[in-house]
Amino acid sequence: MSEYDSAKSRFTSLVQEHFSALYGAARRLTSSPSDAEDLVQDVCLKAFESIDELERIEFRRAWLLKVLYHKFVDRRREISRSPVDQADTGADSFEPEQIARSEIRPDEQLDQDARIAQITRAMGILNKDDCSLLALHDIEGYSLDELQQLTGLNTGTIKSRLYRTRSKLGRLLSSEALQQPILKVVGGKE
Amino acid sequence: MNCIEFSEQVTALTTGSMPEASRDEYLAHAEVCAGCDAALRGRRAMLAMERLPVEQPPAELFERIAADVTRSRPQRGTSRSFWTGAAFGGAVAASLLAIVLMLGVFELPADQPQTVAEFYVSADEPRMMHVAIEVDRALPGAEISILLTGNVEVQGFGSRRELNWSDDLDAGVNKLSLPLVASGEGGGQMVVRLSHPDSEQLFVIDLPLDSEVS
Repeated sequence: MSEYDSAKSRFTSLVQEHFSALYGAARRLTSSPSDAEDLVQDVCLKAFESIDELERIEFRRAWLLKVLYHKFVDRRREISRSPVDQADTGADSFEPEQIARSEIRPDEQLDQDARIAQITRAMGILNKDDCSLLALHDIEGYSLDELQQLTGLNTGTIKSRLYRTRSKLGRLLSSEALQQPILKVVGGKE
Repeated sequence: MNCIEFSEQVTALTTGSMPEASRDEYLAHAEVCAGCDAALRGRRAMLAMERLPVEQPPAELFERIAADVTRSRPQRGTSRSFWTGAAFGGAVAASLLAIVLMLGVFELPADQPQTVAEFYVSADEPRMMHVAIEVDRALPGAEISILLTGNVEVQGFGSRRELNWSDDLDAGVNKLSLPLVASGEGGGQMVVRLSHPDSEQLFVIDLPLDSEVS
């Protein structure tokens, strides 16, 4: 067996059984199959680069999904450099606590597609670790005990972070900044 | 009722598994607690994500990706460049067209716009146009300008006719994705200007209206 065949066989034995779950999660986060494929490929590349670590991990699927949500946030940050593909919320400096509560909740008025796009945009603003922790618990269904083993954090800390991240996400979704994409311009005219 | 109790039960509250009497008590708490109100909205958002239909990967995708990642590492700026994205969700039509602007770093006269391609726009739905800009070396701090003429808009930017920004172009292909929609008859044109301290290039993309093409 060639070195290439050996590497591919090793990679396949570790990742293939989790591939459908990875792709399914990626499709939730992206608007097209090609974007999902790119995201999954990012995860697979990371998995291949970390294949020794991956072999030692007990919760392999959770590890791969965590990488996927990290990569998703990375890609959203990169997209935020584009003038047209983002809500210019200030990303890292964004302070949802500064947003006043509103009687009208715009996020509840959007249709499904727009709402999902808005949610994924807000998720992309979250801290990577917070985003992955929340998604693993709330979307992927991992228990607090499983997350404790995966992260090494105690359950009290995990609960606290889940609460804070949900609150931040909720505030982001209510913010006007996420309702309309705003151009990051250096000039321009009507 | 306090915030700790609320956070422990927010999943039961959103999934409908909480008894009616308790539900009223928790919702009443959210009415007066901004943090828990936001956490409730955040949990509902996660529930919406969880309930999306799960799609299966294409049959050969794993084999293809496994071959790619184990044979060689993908080059940055080729298939997955930094401008492309997915923020417009299902609102953007799936019909895509890739246009490649070969920027052989400024070999051509700077002030002579060239019509390089055409992309059919529709008034019925936004269509994503991918513009692949290829440069043979990295161009940090490049200025990019898009000027729209006629009845075409970038979705989400209304009547704005000119978009300008600066960004770092990688060596190789940089892909810019623009959701375009016709706002009236006749289509239009897009002028793309790339400038760098070294020089400047202009490109024109014709944007005919799909329904007017025989």
